[in-house]
Amino acid sequence: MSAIESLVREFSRLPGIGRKTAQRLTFFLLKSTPEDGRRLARAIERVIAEVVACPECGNLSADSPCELCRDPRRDPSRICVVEEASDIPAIEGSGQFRGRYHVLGGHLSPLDGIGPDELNIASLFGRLENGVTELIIATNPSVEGEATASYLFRLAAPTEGLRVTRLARGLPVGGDLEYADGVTIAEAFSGRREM
Amino acid sequence: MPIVTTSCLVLQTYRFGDTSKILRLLTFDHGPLSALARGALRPKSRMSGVLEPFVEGKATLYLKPNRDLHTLSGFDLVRSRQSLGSDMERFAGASVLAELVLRLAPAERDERVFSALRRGLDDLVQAPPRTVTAVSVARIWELVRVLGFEPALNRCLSCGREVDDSERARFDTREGGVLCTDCSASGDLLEPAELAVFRKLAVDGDIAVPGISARHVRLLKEFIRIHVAEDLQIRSLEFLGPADA
Repeated sequence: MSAIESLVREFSRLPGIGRKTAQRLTFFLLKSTPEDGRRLARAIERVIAEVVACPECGNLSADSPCELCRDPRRDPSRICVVEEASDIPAIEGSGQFRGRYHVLGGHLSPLDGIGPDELNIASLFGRLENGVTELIIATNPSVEGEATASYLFRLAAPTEGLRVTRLARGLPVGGDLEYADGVTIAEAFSGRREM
Repeated sequence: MPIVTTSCLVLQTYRFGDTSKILRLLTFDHGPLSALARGALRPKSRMSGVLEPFVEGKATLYLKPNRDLHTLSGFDLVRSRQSLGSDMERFAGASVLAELVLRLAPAERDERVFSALRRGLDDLVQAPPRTVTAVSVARIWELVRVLGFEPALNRCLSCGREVDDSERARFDTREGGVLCTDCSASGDLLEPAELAVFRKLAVDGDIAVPGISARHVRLLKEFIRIHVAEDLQIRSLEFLGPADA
């Protein structure tokens, strides 16, 4: 296999990239300077060599424990549970949460053979014993995310002094009611609040 | 490229790129098929919260002849069944129903398979918590029957004698039915009450039957693995029923 074909094949294995896009990326690199290509290769090598899952929360980081777990200004009594490490920047971007995180590494999906044992759940309950007062479940608002949230709630509910909460669901800010789907509107109605 | 509108049940969804989803559907008119829902993950998409597993709706599809992946252009929600995610047992039961259809449903229209799946999902949504196992098992047996498999529970598979409600019998999973105690010393020995519950679940489709045990769940799983799935792996079966089943 030629060097070009080999790179096209590797790019096309990435999510959301088909063969045509892979070819475009390959030829873009070939037209760039050799240093551009080497910089990309070095960045990929560095990520592979340095980034690990944080032993505390499961976040992906070059430090162990990760910078969020080591930050003394963050509130250790509140843990926000997310499906993937990629969900953390979205929550951090909101500026609303200053507690700690716990990354499950996915959601329950019997169809894909993913049960509780395949997720990072056991270590979460070890963390709850260390003075945690609120567990915020921020799994995705899909049926799989809901099943995962319900499973965690059932396990966590008996823990004394622990409040278990779930992120609200409903209409997006800046959205248009006319264009919202029926399920979202139904959720918004059932979760309406006093003004 | 014909445009069709048909009732359908969403069996499984995959993320495709940043904003789209691939759906595995069981359609009423065209049997199982896959469709690409472009832009379904965009916040402003009318389909963003709708295209989830177990949802029922009317799908408008561009069917591409000789292709495996069609295009979804519209979807009107009929029933969301979001509450199937409210507990693991309900979710696992619904997943087994969906996976059996995904792996074993005939390629063309089959009204009985569509109805059995729809009824199973609806019953699981409505089941009170303590009846979820019985509803799951009864509705999975119903789907298994519709797919062409049924355990022989009334007559001994060896001597042909009728096994009545007052006697014990052995269920031999490999043989796919009961054997009287005169003919066999192997297999699960079922007491008369256990056999009666088994018949109600597997033959009558009775979802209100009390007395379901972990053994009933295990026998269903074994029957599916040996007779229905054969070489196929039905992954969601592992999560069905009580943990000790």
